Amino acid sequence: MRGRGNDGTCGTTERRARPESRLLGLRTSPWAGCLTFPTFGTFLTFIRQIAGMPDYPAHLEHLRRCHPGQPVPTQREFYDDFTRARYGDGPTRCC
Amino acid sequence: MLLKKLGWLALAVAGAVAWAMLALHRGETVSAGWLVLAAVGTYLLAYRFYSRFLATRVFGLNDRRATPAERLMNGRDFVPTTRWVLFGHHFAAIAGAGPLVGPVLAAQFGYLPGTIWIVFGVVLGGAVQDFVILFGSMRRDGKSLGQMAKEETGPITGVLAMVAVLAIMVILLAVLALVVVNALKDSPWGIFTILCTMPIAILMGFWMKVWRPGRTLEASIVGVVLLLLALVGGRYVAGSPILAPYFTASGLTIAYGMIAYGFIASVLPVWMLLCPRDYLSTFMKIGTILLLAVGILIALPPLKLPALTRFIDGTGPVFAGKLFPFAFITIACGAISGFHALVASGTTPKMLTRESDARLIGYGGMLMESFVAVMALCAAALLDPGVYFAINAPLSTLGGSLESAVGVIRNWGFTVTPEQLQGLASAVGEKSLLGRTGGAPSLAVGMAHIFSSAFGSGLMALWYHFAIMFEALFILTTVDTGTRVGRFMLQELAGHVWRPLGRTSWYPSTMLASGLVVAGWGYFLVQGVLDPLGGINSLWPLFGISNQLLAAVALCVGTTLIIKSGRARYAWVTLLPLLGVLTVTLTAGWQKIFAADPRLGFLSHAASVASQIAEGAVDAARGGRLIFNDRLDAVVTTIFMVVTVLVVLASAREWVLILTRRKPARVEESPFVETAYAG
Repeated sequence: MRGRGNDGTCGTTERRARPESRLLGLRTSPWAGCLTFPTFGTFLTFIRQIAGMPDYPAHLEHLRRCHPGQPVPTQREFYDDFTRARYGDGPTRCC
Repeated sequence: MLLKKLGWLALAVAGAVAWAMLALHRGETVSAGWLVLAAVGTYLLAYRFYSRFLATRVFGLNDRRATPAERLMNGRDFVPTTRWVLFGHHFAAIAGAGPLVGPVLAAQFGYLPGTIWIVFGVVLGGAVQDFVILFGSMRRDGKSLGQMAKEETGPITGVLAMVAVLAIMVILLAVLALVVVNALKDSPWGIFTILCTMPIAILMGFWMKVWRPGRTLEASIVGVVLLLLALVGGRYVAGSPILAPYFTASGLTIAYGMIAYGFIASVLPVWMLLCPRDYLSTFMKIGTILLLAVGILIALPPLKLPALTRFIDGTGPVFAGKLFPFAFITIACGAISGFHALVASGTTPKMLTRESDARLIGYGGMLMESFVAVMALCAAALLDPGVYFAINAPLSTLGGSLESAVGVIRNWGFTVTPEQLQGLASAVGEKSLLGRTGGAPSLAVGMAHIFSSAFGSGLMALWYHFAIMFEALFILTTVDTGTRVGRFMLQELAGHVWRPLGRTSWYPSTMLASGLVVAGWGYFLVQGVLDPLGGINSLWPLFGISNQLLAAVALCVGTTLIIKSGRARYAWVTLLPLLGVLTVTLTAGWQKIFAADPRLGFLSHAASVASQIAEGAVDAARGGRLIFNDRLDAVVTTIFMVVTVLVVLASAREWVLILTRRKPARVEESPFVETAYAG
């Protein structure tokens, strides 16, 4: 059984914004939001996520925020782990 | 407020005018702009009104409910993802060669039947199916279609669904591989480019794993650049009298090559070949589809194909069968595709940030795929009908030479000259385009027309081979991911028989299962290449039937979810498409098995071959093989139909039990957890 903890806030009671408003700025205007990238890094994240690529910086951020003190995987370990999880089983592509 | 209402009204009127133009226009050519306008207008209205109805009334999407991505976030597969990003990701996962090939083949009936089915099929059927399965899986922590079928309607349904998926996979891979074979046979340029994609992918694999670990974007840029170089290099290879013969192969050789490739790719570690190919084809796919959309909008080509051709009577050369049910079978992806239910219950539900995003991604993503199908139809319909049939009719019908082909096509009532066909073939850098059934080459010619009229002429050959390369690229990606998935499923099923066979990391079991899956689709592929009717004629309808029967299974699961959630009064949203899909596919299946016309019915074809053997017109060994294949196809079709009917009956029993209150209406959803996100 996977963890049932509410990971969105990593257990704190503080309410956080959904990830989109951090990534794309204006939530109410998706079209405008899609075209405004605050930094080059968020642009790269955008491309990686569309292609279904592993996003190491985002994963580091997740670990730092939610699992502080735990060992941090190297980029290569994370890549291996991600690839295994993604292509492990089940179709990921249609015809 | 009023302004908004007027805007929607104006859109509705514009859409209606565009449909009227398409349907009533006779005589001269009609611009592709009308087709695009009719489709896009209908999509926007359906999205705004019907998908909203589904989201709020039927499913009751609730943004205060935490999604699996939020609750189970692990930074790997459960990742809350912005909706437009996820839209792109989901679209890249569902759209492949399917929506490009089907509409091109169905263009033998004219452009109108295909357009109507693509647009209304998706709005009422395909998009609803994707949405309901995405919704169901999202409420169940990203469970797969098979698991949902098992939990909601019982273990037997679950196993049946899995068997159905495996069988469909075999047919799907065979027919897509056949499309590639028909595009690449005797084409040194194409073969060189496609062969280059393999070392390029392996190079990318080592780049991302060994040299620059995790630098996927960097490796992909290198990969795309090398791929484009390979494309340009192909022209040199094809023009060189020394090199060209090395890269010229017959259909049979290519078929065996693809079988070997499929086996190797499915047993190699994923990072080496499969994963880099997947990235490469995703980028190529998104890039090319955007380019095609821009190209069509700039060029707005006139559609030269008539709205309806005489082949609606069932005598068409590309595939046999009348408009009903075969237009609906031929176009599966783009209108309704059961296969999507597997993707919509795979990675996507684990990435939704808020429940209401499922509307854009499930329903909207499928509308986008449907639009790709519309563009493919435009690309086929802008060809001269004579050219279209010269490319798509099997060689056995056209005869071996340009002159004989022109004669046959003239008999069908379309004008074309040998010079025109020869000129087109040399313009795209091929010796001949005759009898390249399968959709890819005619689509590539159409795309080359669009690109060269939108972005400047003179590069026709390069555009043609670009289109061929990009289609073959993602068909090969489907071949290796599909073989791999088939292998996992076979191993899981075999694990029930003897436990060690179910261990995916046990080498002998892996080799055995991969070998069996490859042998399965490889057999159908080789028979398709050898088939005198052209292979596509029997395999593509088989694929369409199987894909839509899977859609029937998915719609059954969807209906069960809706009824169990206590909203049975809305169950018609999935029951209506279910009824439609069942009517079409069961009719088509029945006709494919029992029709008296030997071009259409498997059994009557077997009988006609038998009498030809008796007369001595066909050699006994070859005839025997044809008869065996006909019977095999008939058996496979029967299995598809029986499995689906069983799933429908099991689900219907469940519905009746719940509606008559003999069984409590209880859904197996994950419990409600309030979201921690603000807003």
